[in-house]
Amino acid sequence: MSFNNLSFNISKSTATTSTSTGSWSNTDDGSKSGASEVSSGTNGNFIHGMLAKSPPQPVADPVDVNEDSQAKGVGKTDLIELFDKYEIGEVEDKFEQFKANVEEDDIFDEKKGLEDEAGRHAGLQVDLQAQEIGSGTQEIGSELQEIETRETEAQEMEQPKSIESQEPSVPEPVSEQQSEPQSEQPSQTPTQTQPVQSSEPSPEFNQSLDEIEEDEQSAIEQHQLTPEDMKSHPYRPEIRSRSLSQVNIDPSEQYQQSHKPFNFHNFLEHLKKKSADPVARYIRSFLLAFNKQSLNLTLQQKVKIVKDFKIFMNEKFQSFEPFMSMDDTDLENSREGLEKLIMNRIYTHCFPPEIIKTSLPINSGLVSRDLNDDKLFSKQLDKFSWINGQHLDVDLDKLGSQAHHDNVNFMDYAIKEFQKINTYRAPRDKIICILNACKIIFGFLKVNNQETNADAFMPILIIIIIKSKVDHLISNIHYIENFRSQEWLSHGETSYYLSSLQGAVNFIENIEFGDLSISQEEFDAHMEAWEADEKVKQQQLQMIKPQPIDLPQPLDQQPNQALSPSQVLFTSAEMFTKSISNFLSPSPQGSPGPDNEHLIQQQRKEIQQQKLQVEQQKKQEQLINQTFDQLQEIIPTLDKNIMRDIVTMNKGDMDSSLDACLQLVSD
Amino acid sequence: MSDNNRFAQFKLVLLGESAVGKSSIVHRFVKNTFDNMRESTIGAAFLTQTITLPESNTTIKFEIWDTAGQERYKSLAPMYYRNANAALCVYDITSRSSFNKAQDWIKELKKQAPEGIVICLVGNKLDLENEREVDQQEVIEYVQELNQENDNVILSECSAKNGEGVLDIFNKIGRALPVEEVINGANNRSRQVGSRKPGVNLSRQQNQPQSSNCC
Repeated sequence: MSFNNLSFNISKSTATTSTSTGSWSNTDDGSKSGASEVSSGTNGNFIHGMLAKSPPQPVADPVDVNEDSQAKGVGKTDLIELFDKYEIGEVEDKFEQFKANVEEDDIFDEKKGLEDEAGRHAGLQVDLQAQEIGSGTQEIGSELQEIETRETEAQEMEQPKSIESQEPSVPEPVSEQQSEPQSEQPSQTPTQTQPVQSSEPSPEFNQSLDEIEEDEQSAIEQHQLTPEDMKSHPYRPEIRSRSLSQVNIDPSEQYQQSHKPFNFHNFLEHLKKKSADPVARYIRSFLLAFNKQSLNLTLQQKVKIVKDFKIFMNEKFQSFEPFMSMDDTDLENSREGLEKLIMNRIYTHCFPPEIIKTSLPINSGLVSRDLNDDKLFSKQLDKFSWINGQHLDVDLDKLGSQAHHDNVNFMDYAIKEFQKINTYRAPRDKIICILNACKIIFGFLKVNNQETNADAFMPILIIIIIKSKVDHLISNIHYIENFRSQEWLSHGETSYYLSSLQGAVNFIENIEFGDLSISQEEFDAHMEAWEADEKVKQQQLQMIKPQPIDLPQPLDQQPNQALSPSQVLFTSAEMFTKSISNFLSPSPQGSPGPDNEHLIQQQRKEIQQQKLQVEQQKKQEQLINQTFDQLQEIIPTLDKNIMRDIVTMNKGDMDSSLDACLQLVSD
Repeated sequence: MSDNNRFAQFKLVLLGESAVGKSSIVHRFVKNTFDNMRESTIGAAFLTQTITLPESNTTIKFEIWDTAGQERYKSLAPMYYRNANAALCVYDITSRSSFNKAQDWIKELKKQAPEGIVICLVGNKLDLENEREVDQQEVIEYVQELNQENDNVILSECSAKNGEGVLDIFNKIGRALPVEEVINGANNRSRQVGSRKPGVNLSRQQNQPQSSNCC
């Protein structure tokens, strides 16, 4: 009973709001009614249907209502599930608490009044909900959180806002400097970005929205690297003085021009306002529904849903305060905030490497494609890990000589920033990791009085990517492409650097001999070394699986012997490749680059050594066979297999093998 | 809408061999038109600069994307020129091969770039007139031939070193860009609340204003 009341409250609030914006659906989809949209029945359409709803006509047309709610199978099942999930009694308790609050507070009078009206419409209203903002469940669920949020909010309001109040509104370069080292502590990030258990959406939602987001907020503020950071970074004092004198304009002014500063906290503050309640509720409904349904959705469908939801919310921003009266900049900030908020919360359902962690059946080809691409790319990175500045006509050693401070060179610093991409969830945050790495590259070029154009930038970016070996880079890029709003993807500085990254990745994916400044011999040597390394890896894999190892040797009757020749061969081969790969991948900033000829000679030596080892191995096997044959003649009574074991254990040594065999026979 | 505040933003991509001075032209452009150099935060690979077209009282903001000119990065160019409104194909008037390369870029753009992209063929290093290898007349004929096929390639020569002809390039491009469409599109978008699907409005309007604009 009270449950229905509860849902009606929401229906009222949304009904009033949506009439004002009913025209929004006049897009291509608008011509179809919500019912026909949804009737296709696939889960992927459920939010689309919800978003493409026609202006609500509450009780006016009951037939439509029924049709809609029938068509919306998803909504109905949700409803049932929700009843299962939340004990009705529990809901009632919550609602009683809520009412208690309401009675104390005059502001809620309106809702209270609606409650009575709701009682009259009891049965039908639930179904109506399904047609309203989407599915009734979402509404009920959101209302539940609403109650909880209210409860906690009252207490929270009295607590000082720790983060924002301590931070000056306009950070001075000095304070930036102080906060910068914090962002260097990677230990902070994992706790903040700890994945939320995707299988259980409810606990997540029981938390107050504010609590969660404030944590996430702090991560990004520290993370944003401004030009001042770059210049005043403790590791790089020289950069600061130099570049400031070179470019005699106020860097913060530039920064303002090219980056509209994003303030997530600002957005959350707006969202907390009473007038923003409907907006907050839409978001909660969406998140609840998304997390619930995500297992049934393909990645492609998720992309579409998120996109549609953003368009839908954009619409809602136009009809609710405080967003309604915002200027363009603040509105953009709100759109950014919305994206960050929802992507933080549904990350585990949208980022393939996270999706696979849930160990549920992967229902999407896109997920496995991304993961496969990741694998291929890291293999490629492995294959070309030896690439250095010289191969792309950049003299990093000469350039780098000026950038050494406290044993931290620019390369490590850029790599470190770049690697952070996997510790952030929102597309924007991931892009900022890319941006920060690029900033460091340009800072480095400036300090060395190089041109800061694409000609100089591209090769260094490629080397940074190769050296940093970031996990899941392809997935990250695709994730950004999929979940970052188009308005920021096709224009602006961030999109330039994203394109550059894509270009660099593309280059690495298709790297060929002709792309590098390298002699054919050196290139071949690197490739041979890599192939040898690969073989060892494959052998290692085979070793892990309890499979007999193929060896065209007479001993392969007993492949499982502890000291089988194949093993000896294998270990030596492994040692050999290790030594080669160690030798061939010197650190980028190491003492003057390796002499090519010397390198090749070394390589050849190593190969010869390997051949030698193989020959020795063969010799030993011959010896073992000889000894075995002789021993058989001497002691024909002994079991042949045992005898072979003994001989092999003694590495074919006649005397010790004979002793051992004789002892056995006498026993 | 009031004509005082007409504003449009366009993406312009720089193409050309390494040593032809692509970025120098843009540096000069960015430096000359305003007193102080508005270098973007990160580096000179991405720059923005605005010009005003007095006759139409329009402010145009160029978002300038530099590309790596080395041969080995040639295949990466599509990453940069997708969504571009204009492309500067730069060659060095003292280098025959750089002109051939610029021609290749034009060919590629016509095949692959977004439709309606404004292409500007720019010969740089006009200050080295006495070392000229690429005859101006030949370039004019080449461009005329292109434009016979209903293309609209702009031709320009400049010197990034002394600044001659640099601003002219961007003014020419600014006049060739579909400014009206973009402004109308933006207005329409802000009026019709919420139909933020980019492209829907734009594509619908593409035909009408352009025809009135062309001649």
